Amino acid sequence: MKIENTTAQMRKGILEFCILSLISGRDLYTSEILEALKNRKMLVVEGTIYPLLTRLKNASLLQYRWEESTSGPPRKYYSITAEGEAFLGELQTVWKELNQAVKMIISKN
Amino acid sequence: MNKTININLASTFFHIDESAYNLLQSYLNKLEKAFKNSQGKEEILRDIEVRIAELFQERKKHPDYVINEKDINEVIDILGQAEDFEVEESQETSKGQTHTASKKLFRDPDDRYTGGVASGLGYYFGIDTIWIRILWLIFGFFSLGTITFIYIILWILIPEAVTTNDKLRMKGEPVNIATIEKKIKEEFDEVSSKIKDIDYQEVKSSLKKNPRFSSDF
Repeated sequence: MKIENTTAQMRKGILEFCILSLISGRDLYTSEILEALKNRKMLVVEGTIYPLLTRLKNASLLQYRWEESTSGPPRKYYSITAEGEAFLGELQTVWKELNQAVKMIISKN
Repeated sequence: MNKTININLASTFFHIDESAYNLLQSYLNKLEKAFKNSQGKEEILRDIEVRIAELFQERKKHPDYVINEKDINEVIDILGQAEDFEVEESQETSKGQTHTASKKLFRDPDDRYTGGVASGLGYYFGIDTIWIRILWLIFGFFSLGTITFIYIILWILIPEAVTTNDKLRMKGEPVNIATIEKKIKEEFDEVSSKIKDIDYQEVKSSLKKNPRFSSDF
């Protein structure tokens, strides 16, 4: 068993949760999402986010629109769908339970 | 002297020098390979292009600025090497890629006395090769040569398992990266042990030929 696979899976799941939470607050364009995640050290290289965003969009949890920018290329603004909000609600519940359980388990050892 | 190229990235124009252009081109090619099995590959690549354009824009200090190799390397550091994405993407795509090939009759070149027909039949019917060889002998004894004729016909008709793919199909093993890797490793080990044997024998025979040296040992 490879540690990279496990941590990659973990990070991927948590990243999806974080992305949905960020966009749930307000519509963001890709670079803003990247900045927020990088500031919190959730993302090492930017490239990994694009497959995730595409997957969330294909699962109809997110939608996007293009907006012109005065200072560069057009920006892809993401917003959360009703389905995405429901999904995020479930994730929050699971996260709280997991967090609690993991804390209990690792503090005993 | 360095040529400057004009490029259009996500509907934004940039001047870029030739070596930087080649570097960017090879990076984009690698990305395309890394994401080739991902769903929505086109979209992912387009999004990355938009991001590259944004990062170029940040580096463009004046309208005539020419993007150089240093800029490209910085951008690649920010986005990550193509190999970084492959690790994460490969786990999902590697599942279900195995196509179990049906068993096929081959002659086994690795385990044979004459043509490898017996071992091939053994794999095909899932019985130990020794029984087929015993059957050859018994029939050969009673049929007085007819079996030899049949053997030669089989030898001609049944193809030899040449490639790793053939050998896996001969044994009825699924053909995927893991089994091919295993097979190649097996063959490598076999070859290297043969080489060791040869060396040992040669040394021995040369020692016999030159008793003068052997006495030195």
